[in-house]
Amino acid sequence: MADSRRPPTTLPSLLVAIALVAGSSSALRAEGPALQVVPSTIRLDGADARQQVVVTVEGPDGSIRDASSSATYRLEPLAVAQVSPLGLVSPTSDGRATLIVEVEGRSATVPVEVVAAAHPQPSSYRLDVAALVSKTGCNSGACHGNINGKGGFRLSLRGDDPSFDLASMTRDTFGRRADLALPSKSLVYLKPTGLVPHEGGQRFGRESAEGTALLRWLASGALDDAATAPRLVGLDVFPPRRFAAAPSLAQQLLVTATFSDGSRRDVTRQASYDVDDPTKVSVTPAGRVEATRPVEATVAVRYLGGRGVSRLAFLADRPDFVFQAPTPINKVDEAVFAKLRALKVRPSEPCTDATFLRRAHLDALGVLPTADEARAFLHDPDPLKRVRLVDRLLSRPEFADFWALKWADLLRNEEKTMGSKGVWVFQRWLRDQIAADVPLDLFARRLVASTGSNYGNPPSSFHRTNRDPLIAAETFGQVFLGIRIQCARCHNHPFDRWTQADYYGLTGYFTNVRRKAVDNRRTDALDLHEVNGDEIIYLEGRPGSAHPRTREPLAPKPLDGPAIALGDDPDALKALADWLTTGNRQFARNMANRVWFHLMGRGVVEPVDDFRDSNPPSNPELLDSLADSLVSEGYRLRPLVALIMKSATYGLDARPDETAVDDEANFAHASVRLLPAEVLMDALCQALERPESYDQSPRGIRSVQMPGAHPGGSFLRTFGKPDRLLTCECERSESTTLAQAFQLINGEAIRSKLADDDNRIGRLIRLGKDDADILDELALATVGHPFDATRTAGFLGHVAGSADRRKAWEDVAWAILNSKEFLLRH
Amino acid sequence: MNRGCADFQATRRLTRRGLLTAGAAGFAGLNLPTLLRAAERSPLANLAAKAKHVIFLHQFGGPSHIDTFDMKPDAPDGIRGEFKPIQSSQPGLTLSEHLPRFAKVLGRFAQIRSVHHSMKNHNSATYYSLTGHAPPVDDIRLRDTQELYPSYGSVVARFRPGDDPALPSHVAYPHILRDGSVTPGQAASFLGKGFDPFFVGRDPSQPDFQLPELSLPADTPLGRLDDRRGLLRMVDQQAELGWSGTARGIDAFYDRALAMLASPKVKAAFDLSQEPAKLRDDYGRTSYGQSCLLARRLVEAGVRFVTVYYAASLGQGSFGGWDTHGENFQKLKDRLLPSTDQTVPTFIEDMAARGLLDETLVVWMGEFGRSPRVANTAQFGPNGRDHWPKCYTVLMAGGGVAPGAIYGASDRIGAYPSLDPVTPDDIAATMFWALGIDPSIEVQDSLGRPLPIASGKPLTRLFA
Repeated sequence: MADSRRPPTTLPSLLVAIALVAGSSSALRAEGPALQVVPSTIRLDGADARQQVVVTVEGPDGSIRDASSSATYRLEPLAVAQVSPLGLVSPTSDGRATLIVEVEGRSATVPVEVVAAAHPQPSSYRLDVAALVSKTGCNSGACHGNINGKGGFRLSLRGDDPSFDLASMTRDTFGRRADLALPSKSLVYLKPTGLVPHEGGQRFGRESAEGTALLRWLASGALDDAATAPRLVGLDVFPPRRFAAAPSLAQQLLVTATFSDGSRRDVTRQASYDVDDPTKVSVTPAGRVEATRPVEATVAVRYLGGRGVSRLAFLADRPDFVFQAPTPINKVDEAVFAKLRALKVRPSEPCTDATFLRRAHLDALGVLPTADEARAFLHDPDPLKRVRLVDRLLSRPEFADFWALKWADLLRNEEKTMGSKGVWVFQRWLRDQIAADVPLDLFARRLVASTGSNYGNPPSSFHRTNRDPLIAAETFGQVFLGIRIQCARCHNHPFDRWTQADYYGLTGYFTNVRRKAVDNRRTDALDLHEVNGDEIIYLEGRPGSAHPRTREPLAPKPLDGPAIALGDDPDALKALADWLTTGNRQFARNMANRVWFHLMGRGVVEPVDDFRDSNPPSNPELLDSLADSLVSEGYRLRPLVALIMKSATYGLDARPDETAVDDEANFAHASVRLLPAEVLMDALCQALERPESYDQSPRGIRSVQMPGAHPGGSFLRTFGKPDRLLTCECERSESTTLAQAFQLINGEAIRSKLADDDNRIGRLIRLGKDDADILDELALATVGHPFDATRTAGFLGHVAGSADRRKAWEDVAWAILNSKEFLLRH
Repeated sequence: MNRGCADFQATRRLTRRGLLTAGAAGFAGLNLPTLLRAAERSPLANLAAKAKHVIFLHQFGGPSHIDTFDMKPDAPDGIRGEFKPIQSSQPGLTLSEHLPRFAKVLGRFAQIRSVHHSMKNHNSATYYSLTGHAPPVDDIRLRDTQELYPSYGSVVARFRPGDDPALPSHVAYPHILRDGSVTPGQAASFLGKGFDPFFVGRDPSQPDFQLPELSLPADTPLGRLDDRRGLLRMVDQQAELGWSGTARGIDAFYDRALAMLASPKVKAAFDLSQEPAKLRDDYGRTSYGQSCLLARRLVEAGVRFVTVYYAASLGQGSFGGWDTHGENFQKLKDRLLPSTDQTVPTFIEDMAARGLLDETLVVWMGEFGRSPRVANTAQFGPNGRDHWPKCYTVLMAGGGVAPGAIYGASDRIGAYPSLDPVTPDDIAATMFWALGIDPSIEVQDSLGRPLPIASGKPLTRLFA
């Protein structure tokens, strides 16, 4: 957390601006609302010391809300300290006093002690100046934190490197930015205070705390106090998590820093705040979070090198809210419904049998139920038929095809790098792993640690696709841990805790991986990216890398773990696989989250490959429970899929309850999404009984089974099949486009299948079926249920009124295949 | 091993030598008719944009600047080349003797003679020229992934779509550029497929030129399509998915696609047979000529951004683009300059005559210029010029651009900018600015990183 470059030192007592005495907060309980004030005691040391208080009101129904700005504050006696209407306490003269807080007739008291009130503190570069440069945004990516700086002045991104920033401010351009003789004429003071033109505008006022601190530091010689300043060792954010009752749409935060000398200090006004959705939530410089409407928000707090998070939910005003939900079936439902109840959001009703049947087929297998399957399921009186259906689906061979496709996207099984034979070999291997329900930890281990021939030992293809240690490390983080470490390639990660040392430490595992193409038959001799033919993966030399800035050698080191002693063994990949798969909680959380994402359309952590403290799971209990299940079932995929698909949550209708209309992150309703490209193509083929033919592939192969990224035709590309050049689920496009509409209205694929004499329509007509039977068959084979009376009459009327019966049926089929109910998973 | 991210790479490419060269400027260009200095001006000043459309003419391969618009008749033998300069209608402005018709309209264009970057490979340089963002690597096979920036037209479609929903905002044709693999920068990338160009992969000079998407097959006349649409509405009612944003999104695109199928306006815009044969001849019955004519028709119909690619291939042989490594002069005077000289002057005069030029910014450029030194290589043959990104010329006209303006200058041999260096980032910012789009607007890439749509500064002094 804290910057290890700073040696621990003893904190001079003068620097202890404010000490927050540990202890439980004071609360007075009586009838009516209970009042809680944090902190429970206040000690102000020095003229610049400040202490924010946070006042919380608890209603008789257990609801809680922030009252820091609505409370009335009073100090007795008046002479010792002052308090602002927003609850900021500042010293006046040495002595003791009592802070009296009143809200709606309740009151609480907090003892206040003031010492050294007449003594202003010298500014510390490491504690005060470095923090204010971040706080005021000077070192943000859009301003001087840009890699090019701005206006010739560059700072490290978000205060990554205070020593660099010090040199920039005081030494760069011959020291013209800091005038130690006339501090108030320093550019670093004149620019942000707006006294000379500044493209970034005025960042703080001359008389502000920031302006005062900066000036005082310049006046005292603009020195670095790295050797004497205490290190930050912890950052506490209050409240860490809260469901705030309506109508409150604000929350005062309290950020308390702990230093290496044991002192604590209120840094609420010095800390920097980032919110996940700035359109709905903002944070004042004083740490007051303000929402524009009821919303869930994550506030990330930064101070010096420390990070903290406050997760807030401002609840909608629903005084008469009654929670209703289907009976929970398993622990998935308990976690989901508990969160929804707290949010005052009602889940949808259960979906119909027909919807469930179609949804379960599409999600588990990527195929539509057949007309006969639909008929049987709709008429099955068994109350447990949904559970039995899930079990049946998971034992079908299409399950392996479909889930192999997801892995093939992520592991980039793509023709140019894998070769025309290689894509088939790797696809087969992926499929076999899933068919055999190989535990995901073993699966990951095989991918990471395999060497040898790609054809003989297909998982070694991981190192064929990821041809560079940097790419391999990034892929490893993203695929197996759900962590994006890319930012740390060039600078410490601005939103996460990963440093360049972490990044290059992970890179070190892959630096001795070598490749030898056995018989590279490039179709384009100049194209060095093309590998066509087998390739042998082997290790040569010692693993390890170097820090890009310091050039110090770095031993291979996993993220968030100690470096692993390799001894004489040059094979670091095995060590990395061990670390990944031996009780690695993040691996389990990531895998569980990905499975949930594929079934529910959204991860508990979203995006699925962006786990970080400032992007927490929308429902931590749910994610824990899923990860626990995965671990307890031996990391096997099918039991987890079964757990999710058998839950009441999975079986909810897609239409949101009125309380859930704005809610997407808490799974109150099923998701609606366009069928994936391959599944849609297969669904068209299945509906019309005309398979698509692909070059150099067996007849009747489904699009889902095709290896590689470019099986041919424009249909799949148009519907978002990824090029498999990125290790990201996001590469599969889910957006709807004009080109898709043209494909479905008038495209070659649908046109040829509709017109084909041997399609389902032709077969039914030749069998002599009457119109009602044909419509019934068509409906069950496409949307999984018969049409209602109006639709039936409309379709039959169209056919009866047309001169050409065959063409009329083509029109009906066209309309069904273009209907939202067909195109969407819902 | 640490190559750094794209930003970092771009910074490093501003070499000390390059900066010194640019800084040592001199005022060699002072005799030019309208000398503009790149004074600092707030990019947001004067956002009262005049342009409603952009026509972006891209000359794949990299046209020689020294043999066209930035001639160096006083340069030594082996640099100045075979061609002689001729006077244009604009006093003091000269250009190649093989552009005689262009000479009469040159005064309509502004020239930016100090454009420079450091990408020597076609795919990297072309990506830069199509997006205004430096690619992460200078490599012959820069791959087209969603990590790279979207095309100009896609950004425009995102931030200033066309006014008529039945028309696409961004149309691109008639080629997909590739140098081995598909050149990045031609589609919407991380903006999402919804902002991809409406791409027409057919040659407008072919007699049977039409759009398959807009052409219903014989067995599906509009009446039958209407029947089908009626049935579709009926079946959608049972599912009652109207509350779903996803479903409504599909509806919106269906409505647009069906409107385009039914709209005579769209079909008419693409119907070049409606133009007089004489005008079609004047444009040139080439792919480029008819493409430029089509661009005028599309802008007339209301398309916001039109991209015309001169050629699909680089043109090292006897056809294709401007990559004149060998027989530079022969290829220019036999093929490339005559076709340009026929098409572009006709196009610009036609635009002006119809009053379209005032509201349309026309940009003519390639991915780089060509080397001052004439090269003789075993691989490509004699009298060639190689890739030269260090300095080249971009033309702009219309949309408020000051006619006849010269921005920046090259040194005496056309090797480096000697005055007011400009990067493709600035060209991008200028196009967005001209359309009233703030170039500093940020978009999020697939990793959620906020990135400005253009990192350069608009050349506001170019605008009258």
